[in-house]
Amino acid sequence: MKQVIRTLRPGEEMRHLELLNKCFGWWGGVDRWNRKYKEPGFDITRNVFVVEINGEWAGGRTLWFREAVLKNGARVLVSIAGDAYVLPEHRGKGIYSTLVRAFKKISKERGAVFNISFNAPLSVPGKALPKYGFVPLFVPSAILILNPSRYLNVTLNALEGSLIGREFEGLRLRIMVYSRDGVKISRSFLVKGGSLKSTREEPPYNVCVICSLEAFFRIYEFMVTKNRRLLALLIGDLLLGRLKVRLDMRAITAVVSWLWRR
Amino acid sequence: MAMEKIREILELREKVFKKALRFHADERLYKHCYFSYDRSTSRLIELREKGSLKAYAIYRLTERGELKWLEVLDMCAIDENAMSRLMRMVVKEAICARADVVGVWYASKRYRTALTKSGFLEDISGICFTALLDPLKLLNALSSERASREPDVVMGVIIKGHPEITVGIKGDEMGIVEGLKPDFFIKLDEETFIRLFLGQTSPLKELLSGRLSVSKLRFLPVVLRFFRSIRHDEWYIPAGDRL
Repeated sequence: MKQVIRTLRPGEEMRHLELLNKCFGWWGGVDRWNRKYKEPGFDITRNVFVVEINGEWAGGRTLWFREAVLKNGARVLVSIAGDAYVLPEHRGKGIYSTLVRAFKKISKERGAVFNISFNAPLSVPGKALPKYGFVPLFVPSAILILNPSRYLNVTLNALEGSLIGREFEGLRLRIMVYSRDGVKISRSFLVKGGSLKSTREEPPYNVCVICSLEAFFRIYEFMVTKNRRLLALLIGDLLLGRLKVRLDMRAITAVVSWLWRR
Repeated sequence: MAMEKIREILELREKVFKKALRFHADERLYKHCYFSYDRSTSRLIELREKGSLKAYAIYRLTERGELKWLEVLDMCAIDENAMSRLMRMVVKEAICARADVVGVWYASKRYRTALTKSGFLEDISGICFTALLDPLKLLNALSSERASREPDVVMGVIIKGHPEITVGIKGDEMGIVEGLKPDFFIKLDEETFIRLFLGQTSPLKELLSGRLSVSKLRFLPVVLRFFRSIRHDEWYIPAGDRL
């Protein structure tokens, strides 16, 4: 298996965009491409990289360079890596690792002090990058929900398919989230094949979670950051009744077994 | 968007975040990142007092699945009061546009209180991963001439996988020195260095956990001063600056 990294050639832009959309589901259209790939000083023949396996296009990644300003006003060059993709048929062959290592080397050769990558919290790079010397810095954000009923419906529906340990196989879970305006939305799930599947099954449930919208957000944030401040806030939510968790014996056994494995 | 307005935005950003780690942008790059192509529909909300800009927010309306979002790409305010007033303007705009959610990637933790008071919930939108490539270049950029020329103490910094760096410490300043023998050494790995640089941990904590070692413990106050001089507690990379 011969792996080669090369830069994008003029005329290959649309093929690259097509592959981004294939691998990301929907990455974006020409407008997004133009903003990201036609910014001042950006050169596709120097900054967009393609990995080929035995001469076949297998993946790609892009490097942007920016000047970062330090607290004393001095400027240093940093590189930002993004838009990494590996075609489905070539996944598991170490292409992403090759790209990450190569990008650190290329960035250093071009004078960058840091290599930065912006990722979604539960994405694959989000889990893989710490193995290559990358330190996570969580980006603070805030949301104001103007339509709680629609927001909760969409968010709880999005839990479908979430990966959960095999220890929880067969468990029935019910989540109910309520907002200050009196909106209550609940969903029932069954753990099947290691992931959550929506179900209409009636009680009894093995796990029952009732929480306020605020506590729901804190659970999600804690799952991502493992922050101690959030843990303290969640304990506060439990004590104040904003978060109620009921587990039956089968669920307790699954949790203990999961903790033991970790 | 007129270049004059962009210049004003950049001036406010520089004034408010002058001590933060941030990306440099000139008018052309800023216009490209915030008001071009798929962001050509971005809008600007300004808060002015006696004609001068006190706060601004740049936002766009997007559809994500079944939800309509008002996404704030960049915002900056001279103080917390201005931020609260700006947030009221943003929320009013969202209600007029019939948005379901307002998403604010506020970049700096200093706006947390103003946002919480306006009813916003904290969220995690993303992770910024950072890897160290060239510590010598970084320390050179932070180096002061006074500490390089007349250091009180000379320290050897050994970062795993990188050549040894000799720094001089004078008061609260550090500088790269050449041709002087270090009085002592510190040893750490890349990840610990970045965490200390970004203010995510303290040297004492790292020392206790064994990730940082000091060859002569009596120089510990010097080590603390060194990390204080390079530490960046605040950073400012708004959503529109991200790639």
